[in-house]
Amino acid sequence: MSFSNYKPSRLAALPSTLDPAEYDTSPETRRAQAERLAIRARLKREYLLQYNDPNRRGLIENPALLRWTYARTTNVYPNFRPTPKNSLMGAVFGIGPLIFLYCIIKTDRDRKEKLIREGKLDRTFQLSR
Amino acid sequence: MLKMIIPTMMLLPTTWFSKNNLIWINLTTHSLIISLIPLLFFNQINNNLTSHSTHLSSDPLTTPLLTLTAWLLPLMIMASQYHMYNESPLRKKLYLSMMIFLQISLIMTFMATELILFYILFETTLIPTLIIITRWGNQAERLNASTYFLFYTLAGSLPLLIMLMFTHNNLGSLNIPLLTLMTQNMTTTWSHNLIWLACMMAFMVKMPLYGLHLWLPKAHVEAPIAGSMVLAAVLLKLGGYGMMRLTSILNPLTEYMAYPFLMLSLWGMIMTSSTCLRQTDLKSLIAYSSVSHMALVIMASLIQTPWSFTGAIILMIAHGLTSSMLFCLANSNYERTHSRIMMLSRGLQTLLPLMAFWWFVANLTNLALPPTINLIGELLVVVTSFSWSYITIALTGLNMLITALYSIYMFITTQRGALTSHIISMKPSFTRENMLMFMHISPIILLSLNPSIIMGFTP
Repeated sequence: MSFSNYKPSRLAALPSTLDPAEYDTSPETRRAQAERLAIRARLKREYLLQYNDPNRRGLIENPALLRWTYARTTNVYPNFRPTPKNSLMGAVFGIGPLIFLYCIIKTDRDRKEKLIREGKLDRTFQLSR
Repeated sequence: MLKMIIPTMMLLPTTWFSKNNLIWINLTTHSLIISLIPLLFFNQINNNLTSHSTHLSSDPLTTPLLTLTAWLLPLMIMASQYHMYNESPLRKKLYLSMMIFLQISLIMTFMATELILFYILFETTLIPTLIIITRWGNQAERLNASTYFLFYTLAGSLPLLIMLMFTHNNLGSLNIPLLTLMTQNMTTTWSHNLIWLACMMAFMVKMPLYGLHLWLPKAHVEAPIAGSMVLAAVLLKLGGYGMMRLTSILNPLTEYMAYPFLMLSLWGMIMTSSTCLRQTDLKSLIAYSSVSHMALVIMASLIQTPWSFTGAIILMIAHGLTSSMLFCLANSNYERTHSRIMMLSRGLQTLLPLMAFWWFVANLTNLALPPTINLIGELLVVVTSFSWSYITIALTGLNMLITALYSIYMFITTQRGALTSHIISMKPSFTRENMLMFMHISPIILLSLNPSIIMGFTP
């Protein structure tokens, strides 16, 4: 039996029924899958209990969401470590454009100032000041 | 001038001696009446100065900012009513006293004739803001935020003190109208470069400039609503105001020294606008949008042409009102859901349609829709930077595009789409909140009809 030519892409993962690894897994993998399913089911049950509770008035507090927002906003710097890729990105997007813009704008302005001083720039219709 | 300072100072005894159920009414009414007084200063005979006393004066640069400050105090008081509801009367009165103390220092800062008085009051405004952020903020990160806020601003402004002393020794007086007549010959020596840097750094940190802006998202997010409003609307403008005052004594060095800061502003506009597109926290998005708008003001102040100063003043007023309104809207969301995460409160247009209208108008003014004053300010700044150098139009144009993108993103995420399914009870909009939004947007609309009063020195 040959499997289909379906390949996973960036936005579509391979479904487990088309994955050949699914059909000959060991009992340990099965046990791990069952444990993860148990955790997911427990969390979903807790959420649904709160969701359908008739006496609930406020928001459901989702600890995973809170941890995610905390990690995205406040906890960035303590976990930062300069790596080659990091430093390259910082240099290319942080410092590079400043130097690049300085060179371009300085040469352009020097050229314009020189033309103005020599009186060669045509500013007859210049309205903005 | 005393007709403004004495009533504002008297708001303090009004707070402490009012009956507990009348504090908010008394303060809101009286501060609204006081906010009408700066409107008297708009009628100026000439562009020079309307001197109110030997130490306080107002001129076309100061008066719009003063009106903004005075208008903002009743708005801050109205916005704080909900989250102060369960506090003891003593704490309520302390909070209001902090706001009034801040207001007094801000009024006198904008009116100061002498630069040393301006500096002292500039530093004085830090203390009540610090107390508001640290004591009444909502998360544990507020301690970190207030430390960043205090030390960034202090470290930036200490060199300014030294330079003011030095200039006073050189020129004999730091009276603002006299400074426009006296000149220091600033050359390109190292010491004069350092003088320029020392004078400008305080305001660069305050504005904030892109590289030194780290305190702003923290302080804005952690502050309570009144703190956020006053920070975004007025305290940032102190930096712009100071820059515009000090550039008169720093010529002709500004032409050479301004380049790094101009590059930082140009690139910083784009970087902070792009950061806005990937924020989870709503207040953080509005804080970064403040940095982006202020980068335009820094650019305008450093180019120093008449139109750019006009654009800077208009942009400061417009941004003050718009940012403050966005923070009020974010706060109305926060009061209902107790979370600042944008994804948790989507599709609010179905629940609160009038509030959706205010969100819409606030986001439209944020993206500088014609004919609001936001557009006029941005347009003047973009036009003058184009005439300064043709290349800047690429960056400022890209910034306007990204500003439109994140404003619409903010609107669509919070208002459009399906409601999040777990929100089952949301209080309807209070009249107080609708009034608050209206009082924010009505000056913008009225000023769009006649912006010449806030145009500063030129027209």
